[in-house]
Amino acid sequence: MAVSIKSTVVLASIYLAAHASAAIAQPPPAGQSAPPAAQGSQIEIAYVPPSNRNFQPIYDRVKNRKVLEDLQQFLAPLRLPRKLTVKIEQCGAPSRPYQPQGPVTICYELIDQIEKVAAKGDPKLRQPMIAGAFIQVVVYEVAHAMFDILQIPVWGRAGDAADRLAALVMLQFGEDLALRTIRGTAAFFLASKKTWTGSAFADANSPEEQRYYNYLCIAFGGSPISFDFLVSGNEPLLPLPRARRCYWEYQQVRMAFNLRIMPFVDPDLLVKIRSADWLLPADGR
Amino acid sequence: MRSIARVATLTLALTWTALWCQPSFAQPPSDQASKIQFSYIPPKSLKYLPVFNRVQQFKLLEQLSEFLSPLRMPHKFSMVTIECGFVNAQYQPSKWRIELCYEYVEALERVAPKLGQPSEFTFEEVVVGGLVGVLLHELGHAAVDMLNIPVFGREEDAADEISTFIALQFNPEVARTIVRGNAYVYKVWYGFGAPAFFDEHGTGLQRYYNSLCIAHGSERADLFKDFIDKGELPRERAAGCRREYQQVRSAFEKTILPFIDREQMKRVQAKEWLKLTPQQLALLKQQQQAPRETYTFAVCNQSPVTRMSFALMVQLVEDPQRWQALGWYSIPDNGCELIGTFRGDRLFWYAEALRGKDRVVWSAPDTDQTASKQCIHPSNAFQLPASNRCQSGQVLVNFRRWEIDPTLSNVTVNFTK
Repeated sequence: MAVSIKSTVVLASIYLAAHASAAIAQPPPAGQSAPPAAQGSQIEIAYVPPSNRNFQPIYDRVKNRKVLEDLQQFLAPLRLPRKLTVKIEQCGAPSRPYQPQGPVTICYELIDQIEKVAAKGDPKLRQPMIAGAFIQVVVYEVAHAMFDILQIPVWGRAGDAADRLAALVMLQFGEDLALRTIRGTAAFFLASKKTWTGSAFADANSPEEQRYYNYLCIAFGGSPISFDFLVSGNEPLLPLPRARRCYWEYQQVRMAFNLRIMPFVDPDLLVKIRSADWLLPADGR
Repeated sequence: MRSIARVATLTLALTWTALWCQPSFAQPPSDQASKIQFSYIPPKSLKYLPVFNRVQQFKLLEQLSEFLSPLRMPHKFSMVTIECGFVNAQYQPSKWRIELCYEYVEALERVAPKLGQPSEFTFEEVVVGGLVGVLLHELGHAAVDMLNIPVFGREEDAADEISTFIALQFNPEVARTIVRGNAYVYKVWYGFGAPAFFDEHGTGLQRYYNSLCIAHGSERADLFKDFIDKGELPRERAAGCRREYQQVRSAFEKTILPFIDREQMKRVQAKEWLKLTPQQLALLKQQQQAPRETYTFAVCNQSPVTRMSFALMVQLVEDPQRWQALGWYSIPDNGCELIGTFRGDRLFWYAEALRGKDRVVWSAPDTDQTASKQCIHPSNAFQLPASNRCQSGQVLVNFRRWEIDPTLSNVTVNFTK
């Protein structure tokens, strides 16, 4: 378990660090002397030490690997009108949903849960599942914060909206990263799915299986060649009635992103981040 | 609404041929500047004629287009009722058109609660509220398309939110009818059966709780207090409904309200809507109390055979005690013929036609225990008391039995082979 969780952090931080080093390696624009994130970034970070000693190893690793510093770099192109704190903390529950004006909180409990679910599954899928699910959780939580801070009109349920935005973001950084994170995310949702009946459907969040298909659909819609395996075979992972609509689903989120979020993104900085080398290590070691 | 059809079917035969002409679009008379056009497109199948008549009598599209007249879309769009070949309502972006299928109306009436059947919902609010609710849902899709509304969440949920939010803007009775109609459709109709998680729609129950939550979080929460008092909305969800409603309201204000004519909106809000007339309501109640006594029977020939002649044995409306053998009815090639209105829970039939030059006969085999042997006149029209003792010039043929579904008011036999 310890090895696996370490891998999560390593994977995530490698992916984040890869972009960071690439971005820093670029010659800074004229008049700009500091790395992008350090200048004008509205993202503040915190590693809150856990009181539960079981989470201490997770705390040590994420802190040592500077996961949040890397996230800070990753979010540097965003020009937010106010400061946003992203912290990793012990929550007493797997998640602490984002509240208006609040910080983004990633819970040690959820990292622990992802790890445990992955440990039960196919060993080959374990590492991508951990990495994908971890990255998904971070991007998903930040998406909620974006809706609030940028006062974005959100049609549809907020959780589904954050999922679709997260999936869109996960597709923007090259085929390899997209495949690994989407596959990992999907595998995690499948492995953690529960049976939903009756008033369970009153939950404001969607069942794991719906989220699984929502991620796959945005992925296939945005990158049909990379994700063509989703619709192949007699029993495709993404049933064809849904798959046919995915191009439009992707375009819809993309259009919403361009209209409502792009005005707050520094386009030059975004190009640098997107053009960075995003390759992940082959096995997420 | 269903019983209105009764009256309609009586005049059916007279109007039938006239119905095939091309539909022309109409506009609500009170607002000539409206960009909403509507049309009731005649169905191809005889069985949907009563539904076609019903939605027209209720002036469903007239009411709805006036109801929506404050919405300033960038270009014209239309709403039609149409036979689709499947149960649905949809928005066609390529035609800027909202389509309500007759099949959907018929299915909705079928699933609506009947009198004597314990239900918290009335037939009227399900049929009227449910129909308007689904049209508002499709209007939501239309608005997303035509106004280029950014949608981050699932568009299907967005369309539900638009449907509920618009419903809440009208007078309390209208708001309650539509929200309750939607609630029944989501919970009882769509909520039936195993959920398909891959679908782009939420499950029926998710949609039920979503719409209740928005209504409960709104300024009109008092109208839906009975749901909350009964514990229909779990406490954990209810706690966040104010915020969910505010999210919808804020999205509406930012993306749709700029396209709404406020003055026109005030005029529309003040009006009474979706009221059945006292006559319609009386018929509805009468229909609810009385079980179906009669059914309208039609025959269609969509098969390669030609010159079909049809005979049947039925219980007449005016004299149900006696069975009568009736013939011959000529069924048009690739067309339908309305035979008439009869009583009872079964009929017997016999038919002949040509396949190329060969004579084809539909009769029951002698081994068929449910069949009935009857005398008919082989070449002339006849109306005879049921009998198997033939007189001169008559022949004995074996009629096939046909059970009449007691829930259906309209029965069509369709020859396809």
